[in-house]
Amino acid sequence: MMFQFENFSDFIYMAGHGQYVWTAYSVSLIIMAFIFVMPLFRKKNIIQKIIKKNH
Amino acid sequence: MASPRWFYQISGRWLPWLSLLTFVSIIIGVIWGLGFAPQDAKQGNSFRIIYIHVPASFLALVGYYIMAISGAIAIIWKIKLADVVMKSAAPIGASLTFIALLTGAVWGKPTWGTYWIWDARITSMLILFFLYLGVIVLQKAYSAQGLSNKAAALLALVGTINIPIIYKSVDWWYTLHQPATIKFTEAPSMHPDMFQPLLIMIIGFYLFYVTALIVSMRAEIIFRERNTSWVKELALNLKDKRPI
Repeated sequence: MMFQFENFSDFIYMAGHGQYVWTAYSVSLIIMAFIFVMPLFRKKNIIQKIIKKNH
Repeated sequence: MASPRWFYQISGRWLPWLSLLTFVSIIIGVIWGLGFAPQDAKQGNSFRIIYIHVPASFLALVGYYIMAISGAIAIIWKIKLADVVMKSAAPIGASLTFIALLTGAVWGKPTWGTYWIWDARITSMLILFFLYLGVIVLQKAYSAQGLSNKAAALLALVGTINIPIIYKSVDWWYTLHQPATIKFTEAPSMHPDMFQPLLIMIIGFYLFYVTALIVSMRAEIIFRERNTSWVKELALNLKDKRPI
């Protein structure tokens, strides 16, 4: 197993397919991060409301 | 057993490990797929998109069954936790279906010359996306929570007809979409150097699904049980620390 590209700019360009590959990966990973983080914020908000109410 | 409170407590112990495993496997899969897997002889580098596309599509289908079955359990046996699963599974499944459609479109442009085509596989996948959205909307449709959940679970169950159609669409109709690379009954028709990172990514997406589902269920449980004494106690205990 070895790195398939000559250098970093080759890796970004991907022989012309870079724009498609990088768009697919970045948008997908951002959506996934979002799905994961949103409920954490939601839970935090609910707990803070409970704390306020019981003060 | 199987009460929301029990689940909240036990899942809190699994969550750090699951999150770590998810993160590590997806990072390894992404680096391997982007930089180290050999490029495809015909498709070139655009082929690297399948490392996202295939696992996302896979989990979009599996996730639909999980949502529909837990919806059925919630209606028939009135198990609260099953209802929480159904509610949490819907937005995760919708997002994964969206990722599958998006990565497919972006891959289609350099490979087929078009972003979109009304092909059997792609159209049935779009229907899956609308089914997920329908379930999400129905869950909020009625002011009586019980009625909303029943309607949503019913739609989810009827929609399961679509899953085998998606799965078999590439065999039943003449389509542009290529047939499945991985089948349960045969060895993969892919070179091991390309297949190994795909396997890592599928495992990574499975882990992601479970972790995301648990995180979402925990928020939903706290919301539903916000007036119970155990949640109040939990909130007040977290007051001095930073609530996560």
